[in-house]
Amino acid sequence: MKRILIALLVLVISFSLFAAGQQEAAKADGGSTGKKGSVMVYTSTGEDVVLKLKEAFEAKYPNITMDYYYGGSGKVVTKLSTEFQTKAVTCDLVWMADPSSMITWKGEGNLVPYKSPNAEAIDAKFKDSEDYFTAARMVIMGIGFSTTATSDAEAPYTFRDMLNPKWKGQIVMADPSNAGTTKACVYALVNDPGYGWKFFEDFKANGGELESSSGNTVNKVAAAAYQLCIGVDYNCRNMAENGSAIGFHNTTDVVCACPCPIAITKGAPNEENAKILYDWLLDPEGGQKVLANDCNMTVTNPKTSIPAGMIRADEAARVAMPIDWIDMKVNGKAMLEKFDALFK
Amino acid sequence: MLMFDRKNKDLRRMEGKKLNIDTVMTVLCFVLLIIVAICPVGMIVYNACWDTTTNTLDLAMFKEVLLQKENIGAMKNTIVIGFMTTLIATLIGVFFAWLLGRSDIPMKGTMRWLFKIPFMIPPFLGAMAWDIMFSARGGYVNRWFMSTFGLEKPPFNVNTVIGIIIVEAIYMFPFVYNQVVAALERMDPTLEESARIAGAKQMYVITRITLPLVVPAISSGMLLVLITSLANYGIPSMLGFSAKIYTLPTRITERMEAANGSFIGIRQATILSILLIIVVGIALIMQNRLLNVGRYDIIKGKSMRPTLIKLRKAKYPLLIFSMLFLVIVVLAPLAMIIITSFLKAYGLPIRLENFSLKNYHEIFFRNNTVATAAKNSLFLGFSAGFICLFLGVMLSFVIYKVKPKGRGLLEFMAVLPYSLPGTVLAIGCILAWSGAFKINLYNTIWIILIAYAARYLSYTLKSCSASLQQVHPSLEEASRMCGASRLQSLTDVTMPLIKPAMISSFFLVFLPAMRELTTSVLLVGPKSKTLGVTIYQYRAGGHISTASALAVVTIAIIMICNAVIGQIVKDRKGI
Repeated sequence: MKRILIALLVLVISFSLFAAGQQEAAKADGGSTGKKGSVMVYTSTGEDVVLKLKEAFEAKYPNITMDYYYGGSGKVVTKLSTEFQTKAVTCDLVWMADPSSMITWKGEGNLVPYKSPNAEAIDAKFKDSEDYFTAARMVIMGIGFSTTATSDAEAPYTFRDMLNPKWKGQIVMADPSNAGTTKACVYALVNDPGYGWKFFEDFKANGGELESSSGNTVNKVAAAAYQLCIGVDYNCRNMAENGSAIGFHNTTDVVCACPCPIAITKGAPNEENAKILYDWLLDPEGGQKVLANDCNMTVTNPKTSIPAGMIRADEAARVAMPIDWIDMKVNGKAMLEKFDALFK
Repeated sequence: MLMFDRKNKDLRRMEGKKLNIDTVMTVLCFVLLIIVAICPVGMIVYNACWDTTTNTLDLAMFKEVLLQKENIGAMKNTIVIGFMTTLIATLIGVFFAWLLGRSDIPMKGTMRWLFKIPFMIPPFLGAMAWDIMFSARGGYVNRWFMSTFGLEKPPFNVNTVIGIIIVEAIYMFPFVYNQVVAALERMDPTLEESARIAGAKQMYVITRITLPLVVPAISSGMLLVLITSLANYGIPSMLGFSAKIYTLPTRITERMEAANGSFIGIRQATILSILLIIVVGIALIMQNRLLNVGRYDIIKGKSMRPTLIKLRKAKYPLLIFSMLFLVIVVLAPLAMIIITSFLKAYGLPIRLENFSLKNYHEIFFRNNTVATAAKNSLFLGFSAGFICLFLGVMLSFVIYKVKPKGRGLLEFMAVLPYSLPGTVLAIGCILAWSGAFKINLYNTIWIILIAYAARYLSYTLKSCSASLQQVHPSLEEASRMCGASRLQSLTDVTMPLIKPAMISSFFLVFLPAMRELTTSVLLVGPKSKTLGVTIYQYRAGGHISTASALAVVTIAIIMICNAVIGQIVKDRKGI
């Protein structure tokens, strides 16, 4: 009796779930042969953002299903690099948090150039000169502060003000070896005549510490383990919107903006649909509008109408510290080693 | 020795079969292991050694990677953490196994239930809970000690090598406990009784008779702990990072992510993981050497359940000690996760006004991917459980009873995938199963299933083989003499004797598979998201309290499944 029961249970569970698996296998097949209209996006941009974009995109193009894979930058890069290695690419459009991986992939011939009509208005700082990738949004690094430990009035508006002795032992940033946007920010700051390496020496001297990722850095400030951090704008804003005890200030002296580019992969199974999505993401009335107005994100197309308090794309392009991504790729290692020697 | 030589041709002819069941099983084991384990691992090694851009064998990178100072440091940490964790986990595991398996301590049911919990908590969440409590910087417990006793420095610091060892040990000791308790409950009491009749004291009996007899179980558990610790990413990354303590798995991930999308980074990472395989290979050889010395087939014809030892005066002190220990190591992190799951936002002080059901509302009503993820995880948990159970029983039977040539190789092949960090195994699976062998499972649920089968096979193999080594061949011989076929004596005599181990090994796979992260995160496709990956995605998006809520729901689902199956199999509940 017992055995029959077990067997029955196994059968029922396996079959009901097998059906689920089958359905999905069928769908995956359909996707790769391109019979059904679909487009596959790999992204490190938050899932809530991707879901909002998916909804709006599918409303505009009801015949195209937008599928996505979402993970931290490292996961997306590893997954896609392995796909390039196997030559069995399933990703159509990739969207990273900074251009460094895009430059690698471009160099290895894994991307397809595409000149989107909507990219014309976008500043050269935010796109590849040969049209291999274009930023759809940017990450602004600013100052996150714990609202339990300090007040909005007290919290600084410049990175330099974090060096005030009253914040001694209370300041933190993400480890640039592990967080791409922070690496870009360090690169921009050490090359800025007003800041330079002196800033990080003083940061360390004022008890500055490192956390493993941008997310952890902001979380620790929200938990009041530190009072101030160099943090990512929308991370802090979204946490604050959800009720965490954290605030955010854009910096006023220098601006650290990191473009988050999109690109079409070589061997994309749905290249035509990827181009439609590419255009739509850069469209001031399409993806750009959703990003700016529904997701708290700084967008790159200056024609987009944006909510009050957000930096306009052309303004950001004007004030942002220059970041030479190719130079950073070449000399980034030496920079990180120097940084490590200072902190570790 | 067996009375019948299985390779005896006359006997085979007598049975009227050309192929005997042993040969079939041996061949099947080799074939299945080659598919499940060798294909992905082989692709990893191939891609590590073979430069596909120039199509040449490239071993220079090996030298470069292996001699890097940081990598040597990481290797040292990994080995120190691995061996110390194994030592501590073994001491704790054996102690509790003896206490629950052989003594008359009360509340055994409660304690058995508590032992399952560490398996259900995703390691990174467990480590996060420890970090929240004991980190030198702002840990709740540290803050409490400092304010209560006026200390100047935080008394605990979990962000150290010792901290990692302790957290790993308490996370992994149930491996040893599970193996040993099953063995203790099945052992022949006559040996202990004769020692006692001859005047031996209790401690003498335990150290000289009981423990030596369960050496196969202890060593199986130890090996599982060692391999788990060597390849573990969640705990050292969560606790070691801010203190710059790297282990090989965290270093591997760092290499991969620092490469900015170049496959060279992945190649360097896979080379590092080959180091892990070597350490595990050495450990396996050591274990086999150890087990070849004695004989452990203690379940013979006249078995009976061993008598429980009366603890007398020590009963309640031991009970209090055990419960305190379990509450601290098992319930505290769980409680931390539950509390976080009710917080409106991460980081708010733990006060009633900050609690809400918002996070649960989000996962039950707002995010429709959660239901799919739960369905996928249930499918994967059950299927992986059954596949691993089937393979594990067959493998351990072949390795320990049929004993063909190359059985060492079989065992090595079976534990190979588990000795790799989950991410590396996932890369191997992508390389192998996205068309390289004319089969494309990529981005479907099947590639995850095959990865789980590879990853968790060592659990069922170790668990079943420890139990099988206790079964004396005389029992099977008796059934063969009565005319039962080889298959009949296997299913009617041997299998029922190792049934408790089989049930517990099913759960050993089912529980972690329900919340697996590191392998699945690279393998999920748009429709094959799992619970572990969904928890990770919430966390990666900064929604830690929602991630905690989903972890609590996951634990609840696992407990319900565990209870239902426990009812059906009745004779022993779950693990």
